[in-house]
Amino acid sequence: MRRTLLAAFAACCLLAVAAYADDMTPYPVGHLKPTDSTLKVKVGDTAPDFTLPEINGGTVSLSDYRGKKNVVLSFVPAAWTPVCSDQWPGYNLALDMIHALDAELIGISVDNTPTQAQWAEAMHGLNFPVLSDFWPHGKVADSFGVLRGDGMAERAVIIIDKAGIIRYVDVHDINSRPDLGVMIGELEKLAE
Amino acid sequence: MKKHIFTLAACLILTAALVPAASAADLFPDLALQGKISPEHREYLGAPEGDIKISDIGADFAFVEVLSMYCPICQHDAPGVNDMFARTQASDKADRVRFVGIAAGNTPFEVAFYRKKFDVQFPLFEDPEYVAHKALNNVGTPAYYLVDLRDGKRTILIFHEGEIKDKGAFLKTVLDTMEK
Repeated sequence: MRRTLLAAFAACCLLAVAAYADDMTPYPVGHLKPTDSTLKVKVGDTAPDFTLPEINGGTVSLSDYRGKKNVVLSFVPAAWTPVCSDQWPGYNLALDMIHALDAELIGISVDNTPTQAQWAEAMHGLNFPVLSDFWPHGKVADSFGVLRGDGMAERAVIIIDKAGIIRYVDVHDINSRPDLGVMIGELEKLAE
Repeated sequence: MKKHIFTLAACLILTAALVPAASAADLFPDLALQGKISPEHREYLGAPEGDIKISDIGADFAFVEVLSMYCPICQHDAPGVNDMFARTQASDKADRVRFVGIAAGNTPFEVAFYRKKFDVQFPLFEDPEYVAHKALNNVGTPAYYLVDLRDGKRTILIFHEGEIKDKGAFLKTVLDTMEK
């Protein structure tokens, strides 16, 4: 009986999220453990550098932005899943606001580049770098301490200033979307 | 007995989750519309001071869009919806229908951003905890309803889920339906 109720609850959770492109059908993942990793960084630390492949070709390094722009790292768990497919299109819409605060948004998932590219296209395109942390699997996520035990990344927002210092960390409940307003508020603090 | 009650509860929960989105002839729930609106928007809605429900809208019909700031189709459709609003306002049906947007899962910040980004002129309401969205059986976004408010039942006359490919034809259907 308990399993029946859990199944019913999971079904409700799956259907509670809408709002993605109507030409894509995200893969339902159900209700997951809210967080499942141990952070390895904290506010005030120097962010670990990385270089990862980007869906439009080439690579992007965090250090590319050192001394030039603040950076918002948006780790998401997996391509083609409901909340992730709902999160980045909103961030994409808000890019002007993010750029106006002297910041660049960088999206990272552990999926491989072809998967990310097709997913981004299904979301009607994304105008920020989307990086693949596929191989060595989740190495960058792990360096921040946001790699879950199941191999997915957490749903995390990490803001790094121009000096490369971590200024904000939100390892969010994987089942819900971080409020855009909170991210913008943190960037406004950097701009002050 | 307790076992049967649990079984019934589980079935009800599952049923509620799996019920399809509302369709024409169903009744639109009397949703509480959350969020601050401008005095101009309150006047537009003809709603009294204080909390507003769908049934408080002072017009014969409500055109309700369920949207999300995060939804690519909603973003893509926003200018077209604005155009439908403007054309309705310019039509002889302007006094009979009120446009309302309900932003599923969106916070006040996100609603304000969407309004500003697309210069939405009709009232938008927030639904950060998906309360309204769940009452609408978790309808996909965007979704559009024409609701008849005249009989006090809030009968859904038109329901459309997803992108509107031909907004001109859709608006004509909406305006024609108000004639019937």
